[in-house]
Parts: sequence; C-alpha cells; structure tokens
Amino acid sequence: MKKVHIISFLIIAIGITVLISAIGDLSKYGDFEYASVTGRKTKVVGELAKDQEIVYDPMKDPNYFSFYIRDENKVLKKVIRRAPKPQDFELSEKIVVTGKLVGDTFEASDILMKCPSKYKNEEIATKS
Amino acid sequence: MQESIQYIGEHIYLAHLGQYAIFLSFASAILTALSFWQVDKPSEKIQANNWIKIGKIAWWTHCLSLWSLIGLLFFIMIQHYYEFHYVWQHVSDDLPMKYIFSAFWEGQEGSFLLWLFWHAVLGTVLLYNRHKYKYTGLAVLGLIQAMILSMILGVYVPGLEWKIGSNPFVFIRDVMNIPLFNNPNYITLIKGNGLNPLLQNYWMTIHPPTLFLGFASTAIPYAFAIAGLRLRDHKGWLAPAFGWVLFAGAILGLGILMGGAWAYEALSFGGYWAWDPVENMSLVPWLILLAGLHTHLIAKNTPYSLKSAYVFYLLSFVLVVYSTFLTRSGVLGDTSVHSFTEMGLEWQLIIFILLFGLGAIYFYWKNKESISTPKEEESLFSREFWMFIGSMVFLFSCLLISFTTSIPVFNKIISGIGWILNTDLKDWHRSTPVDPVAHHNRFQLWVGVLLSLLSIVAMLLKYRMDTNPFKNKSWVIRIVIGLISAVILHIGICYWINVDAWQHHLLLFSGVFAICMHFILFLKNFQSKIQYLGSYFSHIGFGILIVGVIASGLNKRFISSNPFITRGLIADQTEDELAKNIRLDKNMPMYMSGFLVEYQKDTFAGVTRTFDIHFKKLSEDGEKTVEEFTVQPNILYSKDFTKIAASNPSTKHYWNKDIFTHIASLPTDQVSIEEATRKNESIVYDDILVSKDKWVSYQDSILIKLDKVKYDPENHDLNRNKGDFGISADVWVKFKDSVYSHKPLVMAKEGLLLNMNDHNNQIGLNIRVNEKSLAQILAPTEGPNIHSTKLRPNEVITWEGRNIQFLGFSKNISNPHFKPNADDIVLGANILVGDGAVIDTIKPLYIIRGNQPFSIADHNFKHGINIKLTGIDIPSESALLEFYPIDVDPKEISMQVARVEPKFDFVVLQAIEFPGINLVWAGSLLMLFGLAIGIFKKNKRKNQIE
Repeated sequence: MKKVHIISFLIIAIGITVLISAIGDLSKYGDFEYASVTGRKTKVVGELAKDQEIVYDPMKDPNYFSFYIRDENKVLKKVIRRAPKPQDFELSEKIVVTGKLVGDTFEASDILMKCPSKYKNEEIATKS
Repeated sequence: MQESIQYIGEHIYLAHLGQYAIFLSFASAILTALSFWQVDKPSEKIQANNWIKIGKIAWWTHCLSLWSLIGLLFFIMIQHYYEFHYVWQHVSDDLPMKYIFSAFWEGQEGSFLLWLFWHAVLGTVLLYNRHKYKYTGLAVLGLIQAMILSMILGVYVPGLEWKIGSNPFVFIRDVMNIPLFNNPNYITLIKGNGLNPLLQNYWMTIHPPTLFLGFASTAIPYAFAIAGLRLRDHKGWLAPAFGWVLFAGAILGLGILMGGAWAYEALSFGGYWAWDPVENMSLVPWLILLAGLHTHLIAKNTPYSLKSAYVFYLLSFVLVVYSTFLTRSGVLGDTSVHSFTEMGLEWQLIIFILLFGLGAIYFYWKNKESISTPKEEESLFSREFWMFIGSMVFLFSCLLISFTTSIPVFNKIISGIGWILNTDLKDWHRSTPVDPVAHHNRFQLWVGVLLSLLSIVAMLLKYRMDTNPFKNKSWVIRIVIGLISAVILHIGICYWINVDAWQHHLLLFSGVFAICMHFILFLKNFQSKIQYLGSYFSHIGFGILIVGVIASGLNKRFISSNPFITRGLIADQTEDELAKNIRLDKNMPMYMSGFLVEYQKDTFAGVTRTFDIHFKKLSEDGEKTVEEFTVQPNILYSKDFTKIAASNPSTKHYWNKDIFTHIASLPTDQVSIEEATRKNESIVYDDILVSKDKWVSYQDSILIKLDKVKYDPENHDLNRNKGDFGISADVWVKFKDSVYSHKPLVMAKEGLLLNMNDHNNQIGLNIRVNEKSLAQILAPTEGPNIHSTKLRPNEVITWEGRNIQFLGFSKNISNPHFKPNADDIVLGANILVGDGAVIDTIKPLYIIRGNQPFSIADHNFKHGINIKLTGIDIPSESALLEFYPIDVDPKEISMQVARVEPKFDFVVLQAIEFPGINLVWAGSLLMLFGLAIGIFKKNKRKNQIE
C-alpha cells in the first residue's frame, strides 16, 4: 500500500468523524415547541409581536432586554437577552433568536433582525 | 401617462452614453475572448497574428469603454444628478466629497465595476507579459469580464419576463412609480438618500478596493491553469504564474485583514473575526490559493503535485465566484449581518459559477492524462511530502468552513428537490450552528496545530531528500534548541496570559515552536538575499498570529462589569452572563476591574455626539494614580436626529494590549427624538412671571429670582449661525437653603423656535423661557409705546433718541427665518438705525401669500428696537412702519416651570481588554510581507534571463 493511500484513508476517516461531529452542532430551524422538546440551544424564527411590550430600561439594568415573538406556528413567547437593545429593533419584522427555553421564557444569546430593506418601501425624501 | 411628460433637467444623453459604454465593453470583452482563444488553436496557426491583433484591439476597446463608464458613473455622482437611481441611492448633498469612493462601491453595481476595473488592470499587465500562456489567459479573462458585465447590463429579454443585470445608469422614475413624477420639474425636489452612516469611515474607502483587487487577482492563476491544461504544457506556466500567485496571496490576505481591522476598529462588534459567512467566504479562496502556492512550489522543484496545483488554482477562483453568489444573492439572509440586499441576480450568478466550475472540470478532465506523474512516491524525508500534507490540511479546513457556511444553500437545494418531488422537505432543513465561533474554533484549532507543525517539518527537510536526517548531528541539535526555546517561551507566555484547556496549550505551543524553529532556520540562511527568506517571515508570522489569537481571544476581558453591583439583582442570572455592559452616570466615577471610570462630558458636532470617558488606574493602596487616559467613543444620530444611526468605538492602544470601548446604549429619551418628544410633551408647565426685584415662589417650596436677561446668548450645546437670535434668562433658584443658577434659553434658528430648558436634578425642576417672549420679537402684535409712522425713501426720523432712516424697498430678500414660497410676493424695507455712534441695518419683511398679507419684523438688540413693516403706500412709495421698543435690561420676564422626575444622564458602556491584539496584526502583516517579498525574487530572476 502506498503512503498516499494510507494518508487518504486517514484523511477520509478523520473527515467523516469531524463532519459527524460538526453536524451535531447544527439543529433544526425550530419553533418554540421544538425548543422545549430538545431543551438545547436552538434557533427560532419568528415575528416581533408589536402588540406586546418591549422592555429595555438601562436605568434599571443595562443588561436586560425583553420582547415577545410569535414563531411560525403563531406561538407567543417572551424572549430575554442580557444585553442592550439593538438599534432599530422596533423596525424589524422577522427575527431569528438563538438560545434556549428556560421555563416559559426564551433566553437568547444572539438575535438577528431582518429589517425591511432600505429601498423596499420606496420613499423619496423631498427638499422642503 | 408618464411618457407624455417632458421632464426638465434630466441628463438623458449621459444615461445613453453610460448604456452604450456598458454594451461596448460587454461586446468587446466577448470579442477579446473569442479572438485570443483562436490564437492557440492548432488549426489557426497561420492566422494567429491576425487574431492577436484583433484581440488586442478588442481588449483595449473593452478597457477604455469600461474605464470611461466608471468615470461617467463617478461624474454623475460628483455632480449629484439625482435623476439617476444609483446616484440618488448612494449620494446626498451633505455627503462629504471624501466619501464619494465609498458611495461608489456601496451598491452592487459599483462593486461589480470595482471588480471589473481590477481585472482590466491586471489583464493589461498580463497582455504585456512575455510568455505564451497570456493569450488563452486573456481569453479566459475576457469571458470573466463578459460574465460580470452581464450583471450590470440591464436589458430585458423580449418575450421572457427576465431582466439581465441591473444598470447603474437607470433613471429613478423608471424604477419607482410615484406621483412625484407627474411633476416635470421633479429633479429640483428630490434629495439624495446618501451613504449609510455606518460606512462613512476611511475603512470603507480602503477595504473594498484592496479586497476586490485580491479577488480579481485570483483570476490570473485560474487563467494560467486553463492555459496550461489547454496547451498541455504543464510545467511551463509554473514560473511565469508564480509572481501572480504571490501577489494574489498578499493582496487578498491584506484585504481580509483589513476587513478584520475594520470590524475591530470602527464597528462595535467587539472583535476582529466572528466567523460570519461573509468573512468565511473571503477566507476560503485565500486558503485554497495558499494550498495552491505550496503545491506550486513542489511542482516547480520536483515532479510531484502538479495536478493538485491545477485543482487548487481552478478552485480558488470558482470559490471567489461562489462567495460572490453567497453575499449577493440574498441566500444568506438569515445568517449574516452584512450581506447585500437581493437584486434578482441569483440565476445569473449561478450560471457564472457553473460556467467556470464546469469549464475547469472539463479542461482538467480532458487533459489530465497528459500530466505526468512519477511512479515512485515522495520520500518521507522530503520536503514535498510534508508540504503536500500541509496543502491537504488547508483543503480540509476550507471544506469544513464552506460546509457550515453553505447550510443556507443546502436548505435551498432541499427545498428545490421538495418542489420537484412535490413534497414538503422542510423537516430536512438545518440551521447554522447556534454558536458559530465555538463551532469553527473547535475544528480550526487543529488546523492551526497541524499547519504549524507541518511547516516546521517541511522547512527542516529539503526537496527530493530521501536520507534519514536524524543521522545529521547539527540538524538534530537545531531541533533540540528549537524545542527548548519554545518550551521556555511557552512558559513565559503562560505567566502573561491564562491558558486553561490542554487544547489551547497545544495550539499555543505549536505556534511558539513554529516561531522558534523558523527563526533558527532563518538565522541559518541569513546570508541569502532577503527575497529568498519570504517563507521564514510568513511562517514566523503565522506562529505570531496564533499566539495573538490565543492571547486576545482567550483572555479577552470585559472591564465594564462590576459584579458587586449587579450580582443578585437579576433573578437566575448565570455567572457567565454577569453584566458585560455597565451603566455609567455622568460625573459619577465608578470602579470597574481595577479602573476608576468616569463619564466626564459629551459634545455635539453636527450629528456626532462624542463622549469623554476617563479611565484612571490607582495604585494598590489607592493613593497614587498609576495611569490615566480618556477614550472618546461617539454615536452618530441620523440626519434628522430621530434615532441613533451608528455607534463608533474608541480604543486605547498599548504595545501589549488594547482597551476597547463603545457606547452600547443611552437613556431612552436620548435614543430617539420621538421618545424624547413624547416624554417632553407629557410635562405640564406652569407660567410664572420672574422678576429681578423679588423672589417669586413656586409650589411654596421653590423660590425663583431673575438675575439678568441676555440677548443673543451663547450656549455650548447650540451652534449659533448668522441670523439666529435668542433670549436667555439667567435665574436663581432657591430650594431648602441651596441656591442654584440656571440659564434656560429660547432661540430662533432658521425659522424654528428651539426651547432649551434648564433642568435641576436635585429639585426635579424644569425651567424655561416662555416662547412668547421670542415670538413677540418675530411678529410683534402688542406692547407699550408702539409708534406707527409712514416714511418716504431716504426720510429720517428721530424716535426716542434713535435716528431712523428708511432707505428704500428691496426685492433681494435673505432672511434665515423666512423661506419664500414660489408665488409669494415679498418686499423688504432697508432701514438704518443709529444712536450717534453706531449705525446698523434692519430689514423687516412684508409678504403677500395667496392674498393674505403678513409681516416679519426685524430687530436690533443693541439699539433696543424692533421694526415691523405693516404695509406700503404705493402712490408715495412710502413704508408704513411700526416701532416697538425692546427693553435692553428687562426687570421681569415670563417663564415656565414644571416639576419632573430627576433625570440621569448616563451611557451604557462596554469596555473590553484585548491582551496581545497587536500580535494578531503584526503576525498577519509579517505573513503577508513574506509573500510580498517573494514577488521581487521572481521579477529579479526574470530580469536576469532577459
């Protein structure tokens, strides 16, 4: 057997192991139901519930920010993030939160907001 | 409907010119490709010279039309021709000229043009190289140019509902359909959208051109590889291509590094690398290029690895195109913060990838039999063997990064299959890792270890060596010295930074070992010319980079936490999440992580608000100040001050660490004007007449007395422009034996009344000047001792010690407090007022707007007079005037007061210490320097041959 073959086998073997392990890092794009079933960190895609309160009061605690989202099954849950409120948060429509469910609230370690594109709702500012 | 309108002021000929230039550039790129391709066809040997001539003309036509269309786009942007959609989108009147480049490549079309520009430059250099691969190479480049140009072609395919490309010269009214375009004169009405404030910094000026030059330069090794395969001359291209590869490696690496530096220096990410998909997909082609570079070296010096070199170079450019697809198609939507918005170019980009991917596979497959591979294997003691393994590690690293980054693409493909099978395969969709940084670091750590160790082994050995080097005593001694110095250095570093896990120790050691070993080898070969030492520099740089990554990444420390204050306040907060941000009240110093930190002041300049945050480190007994410094993070409000547009960090640099700070948040009423207005409007003020002579009481407990009324006061929060005027009331406020001084003011600024109240935090009191006092000066209606008169031109009158002369009427009106409408009739009276010593001009206005006359008075505080023009007596050309005296030192003034909750001025601060961050930059730069000096080596050798 050639050295190249041994190395190829080694690389393939390591590769498969690593890939399997990498896939373990991936989860399903979940909803709150899935998040509660797994109990692990998951990503939940949802819409910001604009009728619910958005709390960020740096006077009380600069590291506490909470809001509500509805997942794709319209399940409403409170989301907490231990960080300041991102800019333009209220404008966002779709939100992807990463974290896990603790009791009935979702503890997010990361939030990704999708704001309506700058040019979609075309408005031309006119000179006054 | 719109077609019938004759629009005024549009530069239609420029739009046509731009469109023609795009077509010409596109067509000549195709002609370049076709003619240069013919040159190397065996059947066309006789005609080859003609094809070269045609190809050269086509190439120059392509370049010149491309450069002119770039120039044209710059021109319309500099001229602010807002009828063009691209200009309107990216430029605004108030955008400083220095950001015109940034605005140019902010959009997709502009950045495609930047890419095209560099290809054209590189291709032109290639055209004047002296080797036989350039014609096929330029043919490939021509096709690449045509593909990219098709992205900005902007033509509709008749019959199909499909638009090819997006033209930067399209008019705004062709993109949007809004009632504004019923106005033939719409151009005078529109304002530009302008450049995103986040991108208004010098990084946006220098990073994209460097990165795109890097991307563009990967096309050259691709072109060489295709030429080598097609001509079946597999060894010949290695020498002329080598300099290009080094150039591509150095520039693309620099571009990526600049991206990291930008993220760290100017954005509030709090780091230089976040394993974001956009970052990953610029890193992957570079790593593949480096793999190619290493196999290229093997192929140059031995009979091995030629096939790998081909594959890597072909792959590198295809990955650049793939990365373009990922960032521009919108497919990353859910996973990346900084991808472009969708523009409907997905399918064009997919065709681009497939064309160059399948093309590469075709040429490789067709010609691979002719690539000779030696029967015998590489020796275990040869450099080429370990270098080859190293290249495989590069490949492996890229596969992993690309796999994770491509998950959104896999999801799309799964959806596509589901659509074909008519079933919902959504259950098969996967998300990207919940913690991408941990995910990638876990694997790439081993890549770092392997690459450092392999680089050492390879550099210790020589090409084509097959004797056991362990028999060589000095060789073994070198390794032993290297190991010992590495162990000492490693222990030393562990005194400086905390390294916990064994994996991190392993990575640190391999990095340190690489530094020591390559340094020893560098010393051994020190006599060589510097150009031949590039690999030592690069490998030492890599080792330093590893140490820097460990130091700054593992030992990154949040200074902005004060666990004694925050612990226990929040239910079920885990230790790890304890406050990374801290509330810092103005002028209230606070201890955090060994520093006494104080938010000292904030200053406004335009829309930028800069905060002075003072850090003071005390000696252990707390007596002496060891060191102190001030950082100045700032925030940018949007143009209309309605919200915060960007938060720019400020970093204190030391030689061994950085302290990075940024403003994470502000009090809610300072975050948005809406919030502030809502809060302010809910306050109910009480009118109160404040006097100089006596204390007036408010709510029984508060006493207020007037000190002095000042006209045209200065206030550090307001920039007073010419024509602005205001009144401030300096008052004393007495509450429970304490007396406070307050100076609220009201100001007329460009027709707006700005009421700057003063706030007393101890009492919880807002106090402001009644706006009526100022309104009374702009449009007086009542008052004691009014004098009405009628003056003919040049008539002089004396009124209460002032000489007043009416000079005449003028139609030239410039009054900052009045903006005339189009059909207004405006008349101004020029009046001189003098007291014997000083003479000033006063210009009251008389306006007729839609049959309704009204007046705007003008005043002079020095002379204490306000004059209103109430009408005109046409037969005698006289002005009807009213004089209102202004009390220069009034005894009392109408003010407004309200009790409010005490307000706190504070910032939410994030401060992070990054130890050893300079090692990251130094290591990376050394690595790129090593690549760059190799370019000169190649040139020198070529000069010798010629």
